[in-house]
Amino acid sequence: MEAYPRPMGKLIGELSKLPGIGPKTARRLAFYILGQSTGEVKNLAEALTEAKEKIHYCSICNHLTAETTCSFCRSPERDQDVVCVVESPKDVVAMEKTGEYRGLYHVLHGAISPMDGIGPDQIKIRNLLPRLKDEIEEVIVATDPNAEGDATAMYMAKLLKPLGVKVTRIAHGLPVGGDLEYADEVTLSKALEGRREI
Amino acid sequence: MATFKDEAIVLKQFDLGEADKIITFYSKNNGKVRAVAKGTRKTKSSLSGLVLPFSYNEITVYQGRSLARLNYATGKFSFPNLREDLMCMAYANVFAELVEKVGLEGEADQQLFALLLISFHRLHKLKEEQYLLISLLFKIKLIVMLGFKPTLNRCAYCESEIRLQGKNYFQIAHGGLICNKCLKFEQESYYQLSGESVAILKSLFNKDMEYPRNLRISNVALNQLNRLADNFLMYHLDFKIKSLDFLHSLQEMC
Repeated sequence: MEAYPRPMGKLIGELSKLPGIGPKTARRLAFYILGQSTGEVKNLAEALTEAKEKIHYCSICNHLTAETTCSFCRSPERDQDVVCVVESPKDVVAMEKTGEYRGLYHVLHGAISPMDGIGPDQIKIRNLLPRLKDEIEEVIVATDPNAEGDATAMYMAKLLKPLGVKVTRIAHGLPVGGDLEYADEVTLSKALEGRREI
Repeated sequence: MATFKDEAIVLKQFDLGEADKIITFYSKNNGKVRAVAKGTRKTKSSLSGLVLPFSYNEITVYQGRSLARLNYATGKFSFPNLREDLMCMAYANVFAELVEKVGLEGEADQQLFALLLISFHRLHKLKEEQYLLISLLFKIKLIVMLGFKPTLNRCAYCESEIRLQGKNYFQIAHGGLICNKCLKFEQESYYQLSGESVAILKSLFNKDMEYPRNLRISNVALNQLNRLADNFLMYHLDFKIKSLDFLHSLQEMC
C-alpha cells in the first residue's frame, strides 16, 4: 500500500529533484502546496511554465531575457566600450548590486575545467569575439577567483590581447570586514601583490 | 571514525551545496582522500586559498561514517605558477587527472606521491621549453609504477631480438616494439618511431626520477613520445585523459 496518493507522491518526487531539496523538505513543500488555495497553486504552476517557455539567452551577451536581447544590451545609457565577462547570470545580479559598474556584460555559462572535459568550446567564449569589432575598448574578466575562473581568465587574455583589446581581471585579496590574521597565505599574498598607494 | 594528519596535494575540487566543496587530495600516507571543506566558497573562508588545485598542504581530516571532513589545512607550498601560467596549468591538470584516476582511496603509494610532488616542483621552477620533457618523464615513471613497462629490446610479439633502425614500430596493444616480420601480420595501428626516439625511451625507462639535464631531444620527438605515452596509458588503463584536449588546444594556439 502506498503511503501517499499517487499525485502527492509524484509532487514529492518532482520537488526532491530540485538542488538542495532532500526527501523531507520535498514532503514539507508538498504539504505546504496542498494547503494553499487553488489560485495560488495555479499561479505557481503558471510562473514555472512561463519562466521555462519565455526565458532564454540574450543573442548578444547570453544573459537571461524574455526578449531577443537583454535590458543591458538594449540600454543606450550603459557604457558601450566596456564588457564585463562573468561565469553565470547570478554573477550579473551580484555585479549590478554594487551599483558601480555601468558597462555591458558577457555571460560564459561556465568556466574552463580541463579535468572535467570543459574546454573553451564548451562555454560561450567564441561569441564574444564578434562583439569586439564594435567600439569595445576594455574587457573586464570577472570570473570566480578559483582555479577554473583563473584558467578562463588566462585563456581569455591569451585569446583577446592579440586583437588589441585591453583585458583586465578583477582584484583578488582580503574581503571587506575580514580579519587579517585569519586570512590564508594565498589570499594574503594576492592582497600584497595587488596593493595600491593611498 | 578518527582524525588523521597527513601531507597532501590537492588534485581537484567541485562544489557541494551552497557554500561547500569536495576536495580530492593525494596524500602521502593515506592515498587518495576525498573530504568536504565546509564554507570554502564563502569569501571569508580561511581555507579557500589553501584548497586550490595543485597546492601542497598539511591537512587534518576527520573521517566520519560517510564523507570525510577537512578540519584544518596549513600551506606547505602553493605552487602559484601552476595556476598563474596557462600552459603550466594545462600540464599540471594532466598530471593531477592521471593521479586522481590511478590513485586508490586508503591505499598509500609514496612513490606516486613523490612523483607528483617532484613533477609539480619541476613545472613550477623550469621553463616552458622543458614542460614536454617533464610531462614525458612523469608518464614514463607512472607507466613503470603501474607495472606496464614496455618491451623495447625484444619484439613484444615473437620475442626475437630487435636492432634499432631508422624506422621502428611500437604497438600499444602488444606493449612494445615489434619486429619487421611481425609487422607484416599486424592488423592494428602502430607508431613509427625513429631510432633516436627509441634510444631516448630506453634511457628514460632505465633512469630513476632525476631530471636528465644533458638530454638532447628535438621537440618533434618529444611530442611524438608524449602522444605515444598518452595513448599507451589510455589503452592499458582504459580511460580517457580529459585534460589532454585543453592542453592540445593550447599547443595549437601557440
